[in-house]
Amino acid sequence: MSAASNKVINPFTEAFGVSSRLAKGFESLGKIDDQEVNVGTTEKELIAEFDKVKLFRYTPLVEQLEDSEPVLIVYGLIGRYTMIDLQEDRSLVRNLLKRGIDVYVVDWGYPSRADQFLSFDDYVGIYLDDCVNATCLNAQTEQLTLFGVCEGGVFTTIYAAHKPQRVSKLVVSITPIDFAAYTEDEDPSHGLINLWLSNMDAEDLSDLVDAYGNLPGEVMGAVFQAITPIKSMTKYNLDLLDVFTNDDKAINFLRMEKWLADRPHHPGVAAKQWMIDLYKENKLVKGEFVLLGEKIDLANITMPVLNLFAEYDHIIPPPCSKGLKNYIASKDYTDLPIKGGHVGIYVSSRLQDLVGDGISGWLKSRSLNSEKEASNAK
Amino acid sequence: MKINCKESKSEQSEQDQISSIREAIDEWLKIANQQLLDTQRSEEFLQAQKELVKAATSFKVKTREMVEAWSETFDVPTRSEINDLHKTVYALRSELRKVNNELAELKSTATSVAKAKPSKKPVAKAKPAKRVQK
Repeated sequence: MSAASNKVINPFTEAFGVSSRLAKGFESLGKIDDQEVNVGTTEKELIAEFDKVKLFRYTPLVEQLEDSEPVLIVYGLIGRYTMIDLQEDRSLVRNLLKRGIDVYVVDWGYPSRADQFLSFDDYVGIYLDDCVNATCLNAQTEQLTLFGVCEGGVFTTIYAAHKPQRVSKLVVSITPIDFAAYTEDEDPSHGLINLWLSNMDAEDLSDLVDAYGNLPGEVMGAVFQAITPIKSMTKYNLDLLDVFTNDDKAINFLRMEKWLADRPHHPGVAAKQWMIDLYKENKLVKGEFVLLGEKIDLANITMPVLNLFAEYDHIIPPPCSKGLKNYIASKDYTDLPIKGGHVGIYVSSRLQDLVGDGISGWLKSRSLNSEKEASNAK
Repeated sequence: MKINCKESKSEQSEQDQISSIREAIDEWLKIANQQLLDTQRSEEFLQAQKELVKAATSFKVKTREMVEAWSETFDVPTRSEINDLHKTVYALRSELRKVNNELAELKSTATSVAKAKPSKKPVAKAKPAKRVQK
């Protein structure tokens, strides 16, 4: 028998270890000031406002911008856009700014019951269109790069198919396109939201939203907790013993918690479209999704497309994202798989450079300057 | 229910034996997580979840109906009435946006037509409207 197997577990030593970590944890917590737990701090300027929707431009971090064409980041209505700028050393925004990219972002605000009748027509057909126009006007360009994250990726994909002339390049990340493809993912922890919504009757989902007016942020929060059952149970007890033994880990944990708790309500009509038309009926890839009275044809997407997805994404199973290439007509399509989770690909310290370089490299190789250089060489 | 412990330490080599209480807890949590995920995919769970959502919605709707019955008695505006107002405001806003867009288009067309065909005669100034004596 090996030495390792002879090891006797000493409960007193274990208890002492836990007590020491608890003491260290309280010490760490005591050092943290409320002001330090802030997210989305990169400096930005308000460019335009449409009802509750705001368009910001991030202040460039380098003197010479790489490309005159702006990148407009569009987050979804589930959660806040601040995830892309969680903290200084874990920020997609800063990673792009540092690489000379001109970055704009849409802030959808906090929808209330007064906004329950807003639909994809409003968010994509009107507000996003307004933001695209305002961005182009501000940057003095005819076109821009749209960068959609999660549900925002669906918004940008629909917009790019609806108004392809305004979009020079499309970047989508952790974005579901083929909502039924979750069945191709063999990991049992992936695709529970798809399974649960497929199982519900459309009428029940519609009634649920009508009862609350909107899809409450708290309901989505509870769903996200339910799909990682044990993690949700141990997060605020057992896991804290590890987190609070390190000052940096402690503050990162609190920042992430702050972002998670900041969950706006999803406007009702748009929520029904999201859950029924897209999750349940998969209308986007069937060519049946309607925006402003017109069916969206993904084959209108002919501009270069970068599709960034997380291989360990339990919320958006990778096959749902990868499906995009089967429905668009772009000849310049790139998959960028990242070994990380849904939120991890943006907030993990390990992946900061990988994601930043991957996106900026792809953008730069297709920038106006590169195109000019290529044509001069010819 | 049969528990699949293939991944558990109990079936691994002696070198991998659990050496602390924390490790034992982690191992237990791993198995529990797998079991919960399997449960959450089962037919029984899906059916129960569906019924729970329906019941919760029904409870919310019935509660509102009760409150609204009371509110109407005492002339307090109800959620349904406020929802009606939201819908009206939404429709009016959409209409206003449409009208504004059409107006902007008309203005832009008028400007481009005016630029394309400059009129030879100066346009007579419109007479100021007469004030109505009250």
